[in-house]
Amino acid sequence: MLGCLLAKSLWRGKARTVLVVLSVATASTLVSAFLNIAFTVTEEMAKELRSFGANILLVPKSEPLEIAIGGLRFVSPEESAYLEEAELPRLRTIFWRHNIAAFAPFLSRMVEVEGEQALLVGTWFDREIPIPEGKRFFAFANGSRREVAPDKGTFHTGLKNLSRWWQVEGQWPREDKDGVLIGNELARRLKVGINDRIRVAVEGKSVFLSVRGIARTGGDEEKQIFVHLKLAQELFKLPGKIERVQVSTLVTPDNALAARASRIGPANLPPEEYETWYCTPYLGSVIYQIEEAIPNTKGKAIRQVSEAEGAFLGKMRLTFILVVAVAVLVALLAVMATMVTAIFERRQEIGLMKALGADAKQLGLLFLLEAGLTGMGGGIVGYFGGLTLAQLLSVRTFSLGGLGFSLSLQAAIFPITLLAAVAVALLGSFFPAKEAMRLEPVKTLRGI
Amino acid sequence: MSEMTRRIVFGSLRRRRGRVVVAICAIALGASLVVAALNLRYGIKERLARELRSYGANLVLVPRTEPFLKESDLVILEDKRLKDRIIGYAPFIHKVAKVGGKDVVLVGARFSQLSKISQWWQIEGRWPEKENEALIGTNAASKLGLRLGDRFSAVHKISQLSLSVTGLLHTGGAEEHQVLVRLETLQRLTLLDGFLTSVLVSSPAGKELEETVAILQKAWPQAEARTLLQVARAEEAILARLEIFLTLVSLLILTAAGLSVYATMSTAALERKVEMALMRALGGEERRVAWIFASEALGMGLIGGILGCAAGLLLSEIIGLSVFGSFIFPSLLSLPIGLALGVGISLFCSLWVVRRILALQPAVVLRGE
Repeated sequence: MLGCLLAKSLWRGKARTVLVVLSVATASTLVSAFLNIAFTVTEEMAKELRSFGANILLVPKSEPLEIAIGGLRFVSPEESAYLEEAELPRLRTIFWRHNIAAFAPFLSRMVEVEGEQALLVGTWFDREIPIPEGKRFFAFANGSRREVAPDKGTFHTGLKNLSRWWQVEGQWPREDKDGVLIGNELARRLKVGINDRIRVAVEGKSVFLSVRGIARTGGDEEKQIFVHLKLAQELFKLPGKIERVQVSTLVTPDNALAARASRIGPANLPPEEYETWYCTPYLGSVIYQIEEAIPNTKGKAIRQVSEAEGAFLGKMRLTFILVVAVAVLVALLAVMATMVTAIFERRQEIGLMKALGADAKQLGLLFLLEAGLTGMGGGIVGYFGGLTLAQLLSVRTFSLGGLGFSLSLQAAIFPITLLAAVAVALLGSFFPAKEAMRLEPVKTLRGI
Repeated sequence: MSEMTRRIVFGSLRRRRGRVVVAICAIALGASLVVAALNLRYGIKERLARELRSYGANLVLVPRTEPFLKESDLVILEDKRLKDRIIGYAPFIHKVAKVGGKDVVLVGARFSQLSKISQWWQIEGRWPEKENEALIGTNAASKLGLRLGDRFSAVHKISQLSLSVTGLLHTGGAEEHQVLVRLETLQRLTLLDGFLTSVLVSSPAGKELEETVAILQKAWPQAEARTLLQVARAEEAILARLEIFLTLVSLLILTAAGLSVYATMSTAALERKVEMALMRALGGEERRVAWIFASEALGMGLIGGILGCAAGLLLSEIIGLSVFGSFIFPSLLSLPIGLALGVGISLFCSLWVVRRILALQPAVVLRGE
């Protein structure tokens, strides 16, 4: 009887049912879209920020004291220490390997360029490197084991990927051996342009190189000259050696655990906390893992970048959550208002049913069931609408493709959206239905 | 408005007090959310732009042709035209000197100004205050074998200086290899009184930055103003993304708020079907009946809109306060938009419903079909 009534009532008022479902769907679209964005936006922002320079600097453990002034850089020969170029691919074998966005090695010395002193920096411009197979399973002291998805086998990186804010006139040198990138200020001083050939002299030996591009950064790089690492290693007679590596990593802002780990040292954390710390991409834990993977390395956080990022992302997250809360609130109110109108239009029906002997309990059940069903329908439609909207929003807002929706996140968002939809539909119909039932059937039927 | 219309309007508002309050609340709520969203859309951007500025300079001034800048020229940065555009600046002099027989870069700086634009520096110990105190980079400290509180001497050509370490500096950058002392101290040591090698400037990001560079070039021709692209580009990108995102969210809120006001107002108008039909049956002209309802809606829209604007301002300030710990500057645009939303939608909805009802035969409505 009840089921029959329910189906009939929903069917007869097709237009109204559709309207209510639509409005519930709109609201749940907003809820699901915003939940998706709120959970992923900081991650997206973090990725975006990563195109603006490295946040980790790797140096040899016995880091030499360097005298860097006016774009020049000197290191006393007896102090010099190096890292091995061959060890670099191991960066992509650590636990957070997929968070290593880009890296580039550097090796520099003072040289004479067209008779002027300048710093010659050897680096990777744009390289595809093979990645060794890394550890697949990470076991922890408390017996738990974590699996990491294996890497693709090769990795595309280099200065071009690391320093996307550089303005390069001409083009980046390709992987040919004698192309160079020259700093704007140095180029101006030497009066050289693109495709000019320049003479570089080191310790009596001299080579001719051709200028591929002129770089503008606003910093000391403008007084320097960039060549292929291989060439620099040959010139300086340091085969396979590098002095420092800049690494750009996706990290989450530090919290209390990260602060404690850096204060007392990760080794002194209790095993459970150590695992959590190790398996969260804090700047500290990524540096720790890099130092584990490449012996004789010291990882340093580039504080200007990492601090600004952390603080900014923290603020962004809070702002988004508040804005989203407000938006969701409005959406829910809109639905409630629609439900009120819908029920209100049916007061005559309610009066009639009451006059025919239905008691308040039966009527209440009927209306609440109806609301529940429409809420459910709207919720499901809205959830998928929200996914699409979130995708659209993030594509418009962030230059990166879509969001990577993780299943575990969706497992939380789907029930929340559905619950919100049903709850709002129920709440929205509860009060007007109750009021309609309070009225004398005679009055409602007469239409007063 | 005729005497009768006024009586009808006020009478109806008084009699249906509950409904009117509900409608006004709905309008106020919608308007307040819109005002809050718009305020955040503009205010937050400004706050975040300021916030980003505490993380390092985005401009650097270096000598153009001469080897040094003159310290006396710093007054240019205090000039009225530039003052608003410059959040902070710090002059520097860099020189290589010998400490314990090793070459090291000595940096002279005004610490009070430097600390303002280098908030990310982590200092073990404290900033130097007195004449012969120095801040020393961690790597320099370990290579020179110096610890907190140690005394050492720096030699430059024939002059010599005795210094004590008050703080160790962690930055992850070039500063870790340097020794920082007071500007005058280093100038005296190197016999370069009144000379500078560079000035770091922190200035609001975005379009303004380019203008600032242009003004600086003109005001201080001996100096070359360079944008530190890493900082500037990152800032621009963040702010642009934020703007798009907040605009989209504001639009969504605007739509949702409009819908909720629409729903409430149409319910309120629908309820009064019979009343309208009765007026028509008693000989009220269509136009006049519509006017009565429109003026009611206008009144409610105004009251709701004003209340909503106030509430919205409050809401955005609360959000601003909880995120940034300070008030955000309200956007002047938000108030008229909030008010227009309240009045416009309530007027539009009631006229829409009223027209539909007036099109019906009064007899049909009165019979309750």
